[in-house]
Amino acid sequence: MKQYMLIILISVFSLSLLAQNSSYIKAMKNAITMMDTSSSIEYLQFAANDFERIGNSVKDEWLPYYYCAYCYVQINYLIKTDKKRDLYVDKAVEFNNKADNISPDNSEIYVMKGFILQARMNIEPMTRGMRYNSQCISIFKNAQELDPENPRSYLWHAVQLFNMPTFMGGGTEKAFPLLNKALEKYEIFQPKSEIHPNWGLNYAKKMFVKYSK
Amino acid sequence: MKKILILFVLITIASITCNAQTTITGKIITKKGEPVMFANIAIKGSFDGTSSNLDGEFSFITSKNGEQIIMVSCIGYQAIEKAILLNEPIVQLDIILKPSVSEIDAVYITAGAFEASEEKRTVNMKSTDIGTTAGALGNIIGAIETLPGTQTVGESNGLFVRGGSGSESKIIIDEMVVLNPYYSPVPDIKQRGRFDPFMFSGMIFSSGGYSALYGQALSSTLILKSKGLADSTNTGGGIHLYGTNVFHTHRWENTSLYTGISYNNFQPYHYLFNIDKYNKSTENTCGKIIFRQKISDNGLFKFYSNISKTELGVDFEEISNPDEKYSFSLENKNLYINSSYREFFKDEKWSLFVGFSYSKDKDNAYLDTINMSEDEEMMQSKIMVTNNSLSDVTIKAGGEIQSFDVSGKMDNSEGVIEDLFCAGFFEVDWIISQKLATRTGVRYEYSDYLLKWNIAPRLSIAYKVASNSQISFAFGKFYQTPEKDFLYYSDNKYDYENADHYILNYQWMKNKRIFRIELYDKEYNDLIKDIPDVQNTYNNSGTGYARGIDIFWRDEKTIPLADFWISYSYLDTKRDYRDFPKEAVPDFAAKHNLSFVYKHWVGLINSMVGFSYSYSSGRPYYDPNRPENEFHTDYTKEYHNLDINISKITKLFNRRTVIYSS
Repeated sequence: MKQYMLIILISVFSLSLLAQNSSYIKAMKNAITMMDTSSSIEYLQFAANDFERIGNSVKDEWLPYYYCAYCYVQINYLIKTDKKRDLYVDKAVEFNNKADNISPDNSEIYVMKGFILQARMNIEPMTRGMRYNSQCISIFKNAQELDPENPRSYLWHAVQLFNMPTFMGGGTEKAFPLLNKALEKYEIFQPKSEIHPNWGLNYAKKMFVKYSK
Repeated sequence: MKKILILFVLITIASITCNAQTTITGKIITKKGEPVMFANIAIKGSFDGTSSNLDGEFSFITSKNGEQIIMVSCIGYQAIEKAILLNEPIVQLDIILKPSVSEIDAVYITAGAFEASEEKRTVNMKSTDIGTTAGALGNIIGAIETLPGTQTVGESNGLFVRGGSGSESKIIIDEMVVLNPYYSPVPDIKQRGRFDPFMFSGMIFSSGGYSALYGQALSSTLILKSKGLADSTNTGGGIHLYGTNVFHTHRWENTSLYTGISYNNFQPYHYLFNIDKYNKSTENTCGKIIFRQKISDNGLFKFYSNISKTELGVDFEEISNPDEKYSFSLENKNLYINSSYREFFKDEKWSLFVGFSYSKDKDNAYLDTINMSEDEEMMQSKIMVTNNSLSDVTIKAGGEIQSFDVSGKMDNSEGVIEDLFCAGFFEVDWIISQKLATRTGVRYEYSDYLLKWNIAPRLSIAYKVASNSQISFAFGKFYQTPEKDFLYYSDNKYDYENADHYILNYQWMKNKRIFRIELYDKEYNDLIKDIPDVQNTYNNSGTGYARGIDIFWRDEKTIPLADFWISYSYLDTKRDYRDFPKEAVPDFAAKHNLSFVYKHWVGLINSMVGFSYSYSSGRPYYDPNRPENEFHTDYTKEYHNLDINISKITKLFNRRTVIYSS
């Protein structure tokens, strides 16, 4: 009798967990679709808000905050006034830090750190470039150490080198091998689940076409 | 038993699947009724929620019921939480959001202050500006002298601000006063600052009305903040026309250590440029240690130490009698230690600063055969607590103790000064609204040598008149112990010299263009004055004033890849102090000062090419052949100076290096 009760209790419990988990996946998928398919500030902000809400209610998942940060970086690139752009980059930092607290030493979160720093530099390339370049490179190197199979860590490292002048240690010559490596890694990359990061391949191809001429 | 069990299961499943649904609908607006778009509306602890649309409206369905907490947030606004009762199918909810005072839109105190920073975005200058300004040659003071309110006085040490003498300005590094910021004075030759500008990440140059955290400067403070942990491990060095240096920086995870030595000898330089007034070219040996230790997530310990020895000799002629030549030689030994620890507690609401500094400076000079020596020792401890519990109010309180031990010898006369100086301060920064901010402070000081105390009130107000412009006003009282040259003769008990500052400032800032205009009035009282006919006796009966207008224009936008600024200062000042026979313009004050700095980024050679031009109208001097009532009626020639420089940013020894040529 007691065994029955235990089995039923466990199944009820796991059923409710499953229900919660599947609604988490469903909500994430919806928000990711919105993020991927829209290129307007409005919908990216909606997606960011969705991710923030999901993140706040599940609490122990890094993905919602990670994507939220990604949305804010994208919004920053769509905004015209420099002053405001920093506000959105600040938001991206805030959410990526939350993700980092939940999942420390995560290669994807390190890539996002560098990706955000690149956005920061883009606002004032002349003064900030000098200040953040080396920090940015070391973040991508960290990301590569944490997961050598993460194609994004090579892609954004390459992008950084493409944008850096040769005399500061950048340039096409140094960047191109990294871009190739990124493309190789993309070939074999399998996201851990359908909501795990799986972006950047199209951009990598675009860069390849641009710089292989 | 089975029945109960089935019932239990049913209830549980029912409670998971069949909740009553509620629609929450409403509008998010500002106080003025404007819609807030893209706000995030959520029920705490659930996925349920939505974003507001372009009209600020929103609507969503939730399966939660009973009492719930709704959270609303939006970029640029203060987030709020609100309890809500969900007991009807449709719940109407309108919410008013308050704009958050973001750093960019905020009103902030600008009266008297020029700020440079790498982090903040509301500043007039960037930290890199200091290193790349022509004429500054990586010298902090040189860069500051391109800002309004300052003037270049070629023959004396110190920052001359708004009719103030060089000794009326203090340099502060990481909250601690620097006793000897410049190399020891040599008659008629301006000495460089001892500090490398690249060790700082931020600065505030105050041409008046500065914070109650600082004192003992009648005119101005230059507040410098040193960098944190070094970025990376590297080794480097260099040889230049007048010396060589090597250094090594090591970076561990939470620690960094820099050690460096340098040796400079200006002989080749003086030979090459045919400078013949030196009978011994400046020779300088220096060792430096910079240590950083991260103690907690938000706590950093900083230690800086510099030890140096300088020797030089000059021949110079008396202005009034060019045939008469003097020879002057100097040997200086200097040790400086600056250490501090800052910790942020509890969500950065509280922070604590503790600092300690020590300086020892030994001068041994000969003027022909007359020996002059001076030994200075100073210790300073400072403690400060900052509270930020209320988001719009910052409270700072603290105190400091400085002990001085100075002894001077000239020929056979000798003087000793021992002072224990204490100060306490309290300051409140209050952002009253998005448009109005105030800073109110008070400072108490007591000097054991003077046996006198003083209380100095300080007040600044800033009001935003339009989205890009604001007006600030500052008032303050400033006290300073008389210079040590007078303290040696301590037969008289002196009082503090003091000055009242009144400053009115207007600033406009938009799209990388800045315009500032500042009016000021500085009233000096209790200045040291000679008692006539009796040698080396003084009292506090001197007075003076300085009034003027400072104008600043900076533009990083109009010319692509170029950045320029223009500073103009008009100064009207007179004093009756020291040995002045009557009220007169002091010899360090020029009526008109103009600086023009231009920098152009040349991508092809990765260099910043720039020039700076400065102009000062003539300064008065006293021709001893004239009668006393014509004191300071002769004027020196106008001063013009043009510097051209190229700073090339490059990689040497795996380190980013700025190479100058001027």
